[in-house]
Amino acid sequence: MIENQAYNHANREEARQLADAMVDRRMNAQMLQRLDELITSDLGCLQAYVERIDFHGELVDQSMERHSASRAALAMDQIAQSATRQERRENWKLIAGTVACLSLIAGVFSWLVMTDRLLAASVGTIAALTSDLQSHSQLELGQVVRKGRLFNLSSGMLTLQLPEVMVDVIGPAKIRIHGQRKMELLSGTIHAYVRPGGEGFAVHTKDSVIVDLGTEFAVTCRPNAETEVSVRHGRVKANLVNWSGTPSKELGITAGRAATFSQRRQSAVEVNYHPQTFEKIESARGTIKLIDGMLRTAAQPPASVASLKLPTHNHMLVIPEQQRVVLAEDLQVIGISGPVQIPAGTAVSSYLIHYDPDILLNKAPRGAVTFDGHILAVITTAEQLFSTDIRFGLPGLEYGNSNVRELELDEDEVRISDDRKTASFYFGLTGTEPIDHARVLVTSGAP
Amino acid sequence: MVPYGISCRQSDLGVENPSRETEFLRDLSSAYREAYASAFAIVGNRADADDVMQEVCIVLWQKYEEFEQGTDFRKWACSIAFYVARAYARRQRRRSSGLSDLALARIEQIRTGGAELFDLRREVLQECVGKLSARDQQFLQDCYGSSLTQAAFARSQKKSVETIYTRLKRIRHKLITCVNRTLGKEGESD
Repeated sequence: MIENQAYNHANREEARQLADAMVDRRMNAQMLQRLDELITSDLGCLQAYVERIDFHGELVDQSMERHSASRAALAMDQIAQSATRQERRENWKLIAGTVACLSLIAGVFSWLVMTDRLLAASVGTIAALTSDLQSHSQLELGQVVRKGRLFNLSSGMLTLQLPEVMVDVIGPAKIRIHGQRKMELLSGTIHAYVRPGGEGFAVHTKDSVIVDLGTEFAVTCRPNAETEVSVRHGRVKANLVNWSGTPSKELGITAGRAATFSQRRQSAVEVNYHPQTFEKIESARGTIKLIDGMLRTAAQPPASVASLKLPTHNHMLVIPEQQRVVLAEDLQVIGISGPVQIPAGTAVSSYLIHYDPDILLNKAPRGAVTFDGHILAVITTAEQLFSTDIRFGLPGLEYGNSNVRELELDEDEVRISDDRKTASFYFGLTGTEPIDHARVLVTSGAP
Repeated sequence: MVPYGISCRQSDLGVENPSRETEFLRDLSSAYREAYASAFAIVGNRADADDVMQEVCIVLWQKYEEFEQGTDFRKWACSIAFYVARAYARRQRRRSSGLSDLALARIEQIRTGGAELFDLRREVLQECVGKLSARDQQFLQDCYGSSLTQAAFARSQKKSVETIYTRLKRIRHKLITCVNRTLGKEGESD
């Protein structure tokens, strides 16, 4: 007992000495590591460290000759100088910008008319973006996509909503949109899901023209290599093209089959079907139809969503979890509107909304997600989140065991639309661990 | 009360409502010390705490429109000081080394939870500093008021680092003993 007390006393004293070293700027990496160990494992050491560092902070504060009020005023001066500099920069930018704009307007206008871009028709919108997306141009959710638009992605995934067609572009990739029913894949991979009414949607590559006949398919086009077409559901008609782009051979590809096309070798060959491409799409988007606001999907399932493990900066993440889980028995969960009974036999897909900001924000983000299926429940309490982690969570994903993940409904908001297809979220920022989780259970719609 | 020492022009700030600026200055003055202490506890030295506080003041001003009058400005300012200081500490950590996020979060928890106790300790410490000799008070002010490292400070004083450190350690010991005695907390050493 006495030995234990002496040990604790020695540790606290060590924490205080390390605080002195911190202030005196005598710390090295080893000392920092030791300090970290002490203050994260022993509350007494933590208290001793904070008391000592506060002691030094007060001495620094007293040593500054200016009173708090005048220091605050000084700070205001710095803010003012910063604002003045900013204003000057803005003025110069305005003058330079006006001159540049006037000289460019005529040229740009002529170019737009000549290239038919001025009147380019709207063919769709951007429906989803992953958090790791990098593109050569600014992309935003809801942005209108016009005929002739080129997308050049370095990484991440972009989802385009065209009439009755949803196209996922997986970076690195380069595509051009030629119309509501026609796109060109210059390099990379696209995935298309075509609803009834969207048949006839065509993807052109240097090697082939793939025409959809009501289906879900993926196309990969590699520079200096052949084009690969995989069909998950339904059927496509794929044409090998020759050097002039004229079809030279036609191949019908049905569900669970794949083929490669080489314009250079003039070959169209059936190859083994690899479902991995579709699984990647499913893990990133599940059956999400549309996202809006400051929500993003995750390109790959994360390893952990515990506090501080997956910072989300200025957006929320929607992570598809278990998909199409068929309930063997009735399930009762507590949603935001109270208890919900989900009958046995229901196929349920689950989505985790994750928000863990690590930087200071002006305001908390808002966002909404629309699913193909109907929303059964939105789970927000720690107890319900933990109890559904096992059934609906992703295997191997660390969810953490802290209660702070639950929503504080006095500041966080969740709303479900009248048609129960859209859930909107607003997560607050207060607390030292502002992590928030919500789980959305949805009836499984179309794959 | 409008604090003294206001030297900036309201027009410089680009504010349409000058009274808003006065309100901000009043709030900032009342919360400055606590916000500084929050930042200092995270970054652990004066030079970095000064940098952090510049950023904190700018952020507070930029977000002041969002601050709800009647709520606790001090708490809000300390919370922002913590976030800015944590971001600063993370940048430092990427460059060399530093405390983990968990450690930083714990420090803030202890500070937030024991805010009143820390206020009391600071008041007592002020009294204890007042009891030091004028020479020791001046030395303390020179040491803590300088943003130099100890080695650079020693050079500027034409003394060895050892001499400076030994004297500083002795004064700190006096102060800690005085604070603990006043608060009835014996046994803590320096």
